[in-house]
Amino acid sequence: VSAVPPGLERTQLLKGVLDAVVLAALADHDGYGYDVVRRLRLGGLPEVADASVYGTLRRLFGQGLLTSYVVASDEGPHRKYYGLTKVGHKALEAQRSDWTAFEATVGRILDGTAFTTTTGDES
Amino acid sequence: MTSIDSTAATHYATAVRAALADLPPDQLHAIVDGLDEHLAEVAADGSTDLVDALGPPTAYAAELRSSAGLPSVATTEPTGASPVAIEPLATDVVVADNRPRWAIAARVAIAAVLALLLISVVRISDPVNGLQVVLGAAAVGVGWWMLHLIGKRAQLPAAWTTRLPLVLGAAAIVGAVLLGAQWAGSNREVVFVGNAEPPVTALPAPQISAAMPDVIGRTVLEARRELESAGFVVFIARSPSANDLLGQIVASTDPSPGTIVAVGTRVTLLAFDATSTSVVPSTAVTATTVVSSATSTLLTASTISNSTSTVP
Repeated sequence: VSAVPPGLERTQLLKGVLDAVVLAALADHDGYGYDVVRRLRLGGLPEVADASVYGTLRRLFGQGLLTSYVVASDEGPHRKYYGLTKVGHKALEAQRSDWTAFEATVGRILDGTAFTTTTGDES
Repeated sequence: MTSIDSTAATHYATAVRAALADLPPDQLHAIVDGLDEHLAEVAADGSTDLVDALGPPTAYAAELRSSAGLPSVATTEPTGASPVAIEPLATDVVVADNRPRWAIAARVAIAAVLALLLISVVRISDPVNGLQVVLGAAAVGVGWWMLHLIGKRAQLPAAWTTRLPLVLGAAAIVGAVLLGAQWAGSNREVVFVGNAEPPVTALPAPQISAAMPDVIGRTVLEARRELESAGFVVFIARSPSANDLLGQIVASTDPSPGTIVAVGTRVTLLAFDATSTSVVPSTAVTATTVVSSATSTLLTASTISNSTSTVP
């Protein structure tokens, strides 16, 4: 349908927003590690790596952005659930607005409006 | 099927652990605790082999390292083994600190002294003695200066010593604020200003024991929040039917509501699915099985069935 060589490196792009999307995936519903992987893949990020999500969850927990608790499961081992702390919600808010600003800026640069509108008629 | 999956997961997890073996034990534990379970989940979900799904265990371990912000193999010892060029993401918390251990310990000690100083200031019941703060700051300053001298001998990075003015400045600000507050006649509220401790894990004032709150009939997530904010450690035993905790209602708790227990006690919530039409007693039976099989050390199954049978 689209895409001629070479497209954007989506996995590289993903690295910069992984914290934000992991937080967002947990913002409304707590979930365990593989839950988060599934949510992100279903959400349109099929390339998200299991290990990245797993490691990110541990790091965000270490930073106090996530809480964690264990839930017993009948069909398998106990699951470690994660949810956002107050600080986590704040971080997500901040990262959302950062992303919105960044996306808009890159958008203006990519479509060329950043170069055409800012020049001239100032003084 | 599941046994094969979990064996594969165990093998894979063992290989990942081996690739992370250079990490300090506490970091290693924090990162791989629950990995077997997680991988079993992945194995149970996909039809393909774990290596096909996740790549080789060494690559998985490398990705874990970088995403968790842990040091890569190359920084610890030049073993020459697979030092993949992955730059870590934001790593403000667990990044490797290559300063000597004792230097870090010294900084921690100084931070503790500062904290103690602040606390002692807060505790004073009569109007705050600003002089105390100034003296404290001076003491910290002298201590820091001595450390600085030792540091010079040990050839610490220069940046380390340049923090001195910063610390003294912060202490002076705290002192000034407190003095100002003293003059203003009210000194209690201002004290927070100087301390940078984020209120993440702020628990209510320490209590030795408390009555177990009555959370029966509330949603599990609500109950968990309330109990955690009251200082309890929450364990949730849920009915196996529901995949999500949403809509799960607390059927009973152990200990039962009103029981006097020590704060920090692990309390167990028995959940049942509110959306299912079955009556409480039958789901409670299922839940009892869950608890007795999964957490036999935690409580006796009879306690549970007794308490649940009293539910109308």
